[in-house]
Amino acid sequence: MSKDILKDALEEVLSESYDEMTGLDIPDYDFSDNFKEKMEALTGVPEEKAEKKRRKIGWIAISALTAVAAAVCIWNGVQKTPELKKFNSDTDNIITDTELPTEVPDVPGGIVRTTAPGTDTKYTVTTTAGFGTPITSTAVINGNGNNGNNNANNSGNGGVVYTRPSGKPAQTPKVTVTTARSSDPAAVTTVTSATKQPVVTIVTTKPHSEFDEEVAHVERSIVMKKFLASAVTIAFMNVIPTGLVQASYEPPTADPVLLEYVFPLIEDGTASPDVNNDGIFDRYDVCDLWAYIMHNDSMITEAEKEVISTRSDIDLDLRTRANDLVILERYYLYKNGLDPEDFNMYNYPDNNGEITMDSYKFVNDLKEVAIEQDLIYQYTANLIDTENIDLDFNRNGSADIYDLLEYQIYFYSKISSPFDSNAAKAVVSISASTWDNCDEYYQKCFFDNESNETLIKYFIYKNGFDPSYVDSWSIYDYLEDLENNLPEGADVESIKYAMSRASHLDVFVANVSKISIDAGFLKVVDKMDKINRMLEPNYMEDLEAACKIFDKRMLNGEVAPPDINFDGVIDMEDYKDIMIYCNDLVAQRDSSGSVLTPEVWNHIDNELDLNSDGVSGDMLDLQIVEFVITKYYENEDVDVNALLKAYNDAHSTDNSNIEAVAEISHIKYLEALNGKPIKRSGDADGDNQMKMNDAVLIMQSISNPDTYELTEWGEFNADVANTGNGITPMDALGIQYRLLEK
Amino acid sequence: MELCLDSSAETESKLSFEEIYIKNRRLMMYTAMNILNNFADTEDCVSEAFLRFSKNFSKYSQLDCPKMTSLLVIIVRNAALDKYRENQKICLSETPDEDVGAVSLDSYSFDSVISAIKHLKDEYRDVLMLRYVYGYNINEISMLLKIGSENVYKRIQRARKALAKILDEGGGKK
Repeated sequence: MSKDILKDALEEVLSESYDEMTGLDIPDYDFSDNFKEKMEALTGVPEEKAEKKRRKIGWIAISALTAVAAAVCIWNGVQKTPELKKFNSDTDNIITDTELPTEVPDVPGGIVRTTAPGTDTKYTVTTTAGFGTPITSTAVINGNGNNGNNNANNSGNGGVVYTRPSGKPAQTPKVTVTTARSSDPAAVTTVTSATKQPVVTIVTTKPHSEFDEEVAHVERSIVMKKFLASAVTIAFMNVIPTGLVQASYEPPTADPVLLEYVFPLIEDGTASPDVNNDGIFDRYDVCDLWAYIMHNDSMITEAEKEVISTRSDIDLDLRTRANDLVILERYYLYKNGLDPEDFNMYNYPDNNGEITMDSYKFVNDLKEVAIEQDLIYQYTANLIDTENIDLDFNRNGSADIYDLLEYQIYFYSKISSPFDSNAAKAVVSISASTWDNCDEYYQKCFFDNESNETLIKYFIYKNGFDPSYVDSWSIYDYLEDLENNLPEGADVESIKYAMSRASHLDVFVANVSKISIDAGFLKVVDKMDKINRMLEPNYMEDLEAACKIFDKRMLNGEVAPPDINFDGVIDMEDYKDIMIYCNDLVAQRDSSGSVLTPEVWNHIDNELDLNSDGVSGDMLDLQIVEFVITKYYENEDVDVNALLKAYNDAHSTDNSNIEAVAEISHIKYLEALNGKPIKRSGDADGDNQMKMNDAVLIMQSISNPDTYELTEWGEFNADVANTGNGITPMDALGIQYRLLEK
Repeated sequence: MELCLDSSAETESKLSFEEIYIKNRRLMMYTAMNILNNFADTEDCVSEAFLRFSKNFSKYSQLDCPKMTSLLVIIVRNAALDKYRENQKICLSETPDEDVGAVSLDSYSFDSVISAIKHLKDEYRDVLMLRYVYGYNINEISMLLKIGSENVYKRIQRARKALAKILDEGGGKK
């Protein structure tokens, strides 16, 4: 409240002060020549800068890779205690070295790892894990190594009751891990029955184990690879709206070959999916086949291998190979849909009952298939609808695209410091309440660990598409506003350092674009193909032929000489224009971001098909222009300008209009390209002269900035080479050239 | 006066840098001259102020006229104060200060807060203006006033502290 009063009062004072200033009687000052010169130089600068800003979109795309690379370095550099949250939830509440009581106390949000030494014990742990629809899992481990009961069924309310088949000869029942979600107060862990009360060691107290860290590290690597991929996507993707504003979601269908030929073989019993021969087809068949194919001896025994080797030829090609696993994974998910327990790595211990990286790897592998079949999206979207989950994370009254942007900020910070919410929270530009709301979603929809991609997809299909969703400027401005409105005392530098605005911008726009393309709202236009034309093996031959043909047609008056900028003259300015266009393509700039006028840019882009191959402005067309200019520029034998005039006279009905257009666009072009005349004086040391010591000072300021610092005006004056690009050794060289010319 | 007399009309079409310069240079000269009383130094400060302004012109040019003019005055006043200290060989480095807690203004009337703000030193008032009225972040203020980020924090803290002191001492009536 104080802040609001202060702001209002300050505004009042500012307004009064302005009124006072307007009433002042200010004398006319006779400014010195030096001052006038300085200001003359300066008044040309900002317009140029404004022009540069208009081109910033292109720059943003190009800088994406750098920004992302930096982000990755930072990511790796600031590794804090990682965690894989998804399936083992919260590890803070683990109890250790305690005798298992008859009733295990409630451990909300905790993991209870029970170790029962002894060979003939059997006990059951029941866990209720709440995330939307509660899931109840009952794990029975038969310690004597004999095959126990093995069944699986889905309860009507979305819960699942299963028992882990032992299937592991001479295996000691060692580990049962049950997970209760901390966000659900109803989450309870209780021992419901035990055929024999064993002495059980319940391990923990460590906030997180080395295993958790290892898993989290892998998890984070996967996330960052996707992050990189997204950024790269936007850097090389040129998309335009298709005009579609609403689309309905169509779930992907399974591979038709599998559907028509392979799955029927399984259905009719020709091929059995029960590869471990325990009587039922369940997740453990998939896991065992995965371990067999991967030669993972720690997860299956020799005896199991024997069984699997005789039963795993799913595709009936008389051998067991990866294709059998590919089929089995897909068939399992095709038949069962998404059951979160299938992706709980703690369901897949090794032969010693331990959960290892292999457990995680299998789950991850299966998850890839689920992603491929879009099951995670379908599951999460259903959860959002049925649970009425509020996606208005910033609680501004509407769940809009910016909520998803803020969720992205939350997600990447969360995954960087999963064990330390306070540390993660301190380096984000979103508010604490937004963080909490995002966290609530993260806890509820824990299965969706695809950053904000699922949310974007849900949002786009639900609300339709608007081009502003991929408008980099809007997104950039929003991110900037977030940073500008940080609460007092926020660690601004850390927030900006942790994840740059540019990185978030690129990833967000890339994700929205990618999903919008899939939904049909956007289509990809790859202008780089125009440049890549020159990489084709027969390019040089094509070019030679195209130049010959064009030359002949031009001299015959069949086609006009390429007057790129419509100024009526074929000269080096035309050549410059095609080079600028070429650079624009590489930098992913369109006409709005180019220094060329829209008329010129669009002319090259759409109407300059000089070799009649159906593509305008590709490398062949550009090099034909180059050929014509270099061949006929100031050529005494052929006046190409006369040819142009003759062609225009013959083909135009309104020459005056063409000339007027040409004049206007050329002037605009020159203004845009050159800006106002700015000549920097080169006077780096401020002694009103340009001498060799200015060049020396520039080099010193670059090599030893702590000792030799240029003043602001010195920096301004010294920027003689590539003006606007800052101080570089080229400026020192530029000054030396100027001195030589004197 | 070359100030914007009709701010609504001015903001409709964005002013170019040159126009802003022409409209405001005399007021800026006047402001700096009152502090420095030296024409050459004053010119230096005005040109310095425009140089700082030009560095983020695209953003500042979005301001309405009163705010833009006031911003230029703030920049030149601070540049002039820096120059004045330099001339007087007063080296005022912003040393770390004791932590200043949040100032509660709730117990004071709005008029008393306005009155207290008017009693503040220019440099304190300016930094508060930049932070709360213009909404600039620390880096932007740092760039405009040519002082370090740390010093911006400290100056804001001191300004709030000074404001609280004036209010406590009755500079603003309860």
